[in-house]
Amino acid sequence: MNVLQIAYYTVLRNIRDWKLFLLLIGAPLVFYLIIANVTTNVNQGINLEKFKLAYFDADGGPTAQQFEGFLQTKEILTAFDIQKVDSLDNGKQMVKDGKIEALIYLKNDFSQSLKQGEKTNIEIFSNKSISATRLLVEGFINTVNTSSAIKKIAGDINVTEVSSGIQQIAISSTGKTFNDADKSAFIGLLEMLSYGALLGCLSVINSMKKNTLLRFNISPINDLAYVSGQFLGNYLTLCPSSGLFIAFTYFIWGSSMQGNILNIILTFLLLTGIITALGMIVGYLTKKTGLGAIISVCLNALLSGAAFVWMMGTAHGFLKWFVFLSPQYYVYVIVADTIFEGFTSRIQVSLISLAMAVTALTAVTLFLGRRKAV
Amino acid sequence: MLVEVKNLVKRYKDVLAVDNVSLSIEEGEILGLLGPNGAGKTTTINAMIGLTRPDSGEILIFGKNFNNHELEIKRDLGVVPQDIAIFEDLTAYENLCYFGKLYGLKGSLLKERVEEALEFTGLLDRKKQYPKKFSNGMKRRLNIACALVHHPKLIIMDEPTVGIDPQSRNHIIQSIKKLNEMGSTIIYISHYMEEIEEICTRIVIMDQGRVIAKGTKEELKALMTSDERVVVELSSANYTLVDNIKKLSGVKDAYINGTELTVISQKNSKNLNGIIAQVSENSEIISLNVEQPSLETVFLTLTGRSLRD
Repeated sequence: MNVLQIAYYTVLRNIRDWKLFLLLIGAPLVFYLIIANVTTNVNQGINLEKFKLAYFDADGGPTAQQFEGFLQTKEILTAFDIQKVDSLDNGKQMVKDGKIEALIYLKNDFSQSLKQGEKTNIEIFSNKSISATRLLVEGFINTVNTSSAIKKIAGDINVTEVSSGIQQIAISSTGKTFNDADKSAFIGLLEMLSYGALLGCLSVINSMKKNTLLRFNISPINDLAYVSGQFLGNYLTLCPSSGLFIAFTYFIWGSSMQGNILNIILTFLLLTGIITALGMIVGYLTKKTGLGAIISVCLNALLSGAAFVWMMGTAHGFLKWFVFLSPQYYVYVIVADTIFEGFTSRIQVSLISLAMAVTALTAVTLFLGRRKAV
Repeated sequence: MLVEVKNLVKRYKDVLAVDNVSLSIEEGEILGLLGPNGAGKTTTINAMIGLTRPDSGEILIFGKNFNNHELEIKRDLGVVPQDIAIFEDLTAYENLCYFGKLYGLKGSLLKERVEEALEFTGLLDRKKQYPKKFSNGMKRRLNIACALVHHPKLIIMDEPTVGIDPQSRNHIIQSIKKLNEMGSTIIYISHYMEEIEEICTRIVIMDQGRVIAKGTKEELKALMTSDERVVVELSSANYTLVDNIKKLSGVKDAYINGTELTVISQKNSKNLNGIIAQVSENSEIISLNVEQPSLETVFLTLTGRSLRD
């Protein structure tokens, strides 16, 4: 019974710390509204000048047809004015004349090379060093995970990077996938949610600094009652933030979830537990407000950053390994796979990983926060 | 015996904080634990309430050993810590409810005890206010109320009047006396000898981790070998008076400074009537002050240092 009472008063105190509460609930709410606005293209009515580009398909194979389909999707046509040319020379001439910004060229063995697992390229001819067309092609390449584009700047061909070939990643010809903007927004919000660790960290340090911990150490309660109540209280305080994230996820991608909202809810409940425990552990170990806050922020930035670079496909070395310790990575995998019909096994493994993490971290929190003679 | 501490030793690395301390407390007593900062008072108390594990020695509270009966003992202990330990973001009433619940109080009994503790500490009319709006004295009173809400058998107060105004200090001192009259046993830790002298029935003086003296204040003062001093303010100075007074039994010295006569006598010489008679014959007495040895002088005699050194 004591645990629930301690949790109740912890929540009450957290809520009354209105500055912290605003930071944890108010700020995310504002950001969710902004990001939701961006993600759902509410501003699509704004009359932006479209990029003019052309493509020449010398291949005509299945992957090339997929690319053509990709170019004709509503999302692409919103930003690009695309036309098909009947020869490579015509296309190049249009670039030189300034009629189009770029020409995309699919070579005649493009699909065949991919089928045989060989390296291949999509070429872009443009007079601009940073072309929106390059982003478009890279977007397609990312979805099929095939190869990077060769960018052709002022007629010079530079091979930048080639991939190792197509892996078992679903290809969406409708463009219905996390685009880069969605990924950034999603991880950004996850990171913001993760800063809830500050709550646990500060509540632990405050109880030490303001001597109130002593009252619990001398009261006739179980050794783990106080830390359990405090953990539960902090967890419950952070739940509204997670609730906002669940609502956001459902609002943006709900129609694609195939009724798997429970996956998302469970994921965020586990993540909230991890965040709470991480913050409290940092608090117990540092015992100092400034140091605890800095470590909480840096730790979450590192964990979120690892998930972000993995998601963008640019994780190397240490970060490639570190990502497996990142709860944000597992949350991203679960949400992405739930929305885009990914592998069920991967969702399950990610959920199990989160559950194991929350169990281990909670155990460490209880161990560090147990009442003990000093 | 409500509390019995035998041969308590506590060491922090190379520092011997408590050195073979033994003391006992009878039910209904107010035991004063007096000593300068760093004397080992708080460490001794922390060992008694389970916040510090002693290196050796035995502590029995309510006749029970702390290791085997921790929760039972804690249920009847009330501790007023040296540093204020209250939640500033909970009202005075909520603070008491919170801490009362930790001791198993609930429902109407909890409400009754909370109101009682608030009234006792003079905070009833402030019960809905947050302590951050309180003066330091009021915070100290709330700190005390939190320790009383569950009606403990033994109350331990560790310097409860540090840094507060005289009005709040007086309120706290009177409250402690009242608590004792109501039957509570109290251990009062302080380095303010005036407070200890005023309220404690028995005193333990500690220094450098050891008990250097214990007993009632009269017993402690009896340890003193110092002289008694009588200071009389006269309407007019009369130098022949000094010679007459010096002839009285037990008088070691007498002198006049302006209109103030000082007479130094051996301890327990009982010559005050003689001094008054001599003075009255020669002059009018404006005021008379008999300076008794204080605990400060007791401490000074025992250690060669002042309490506040």
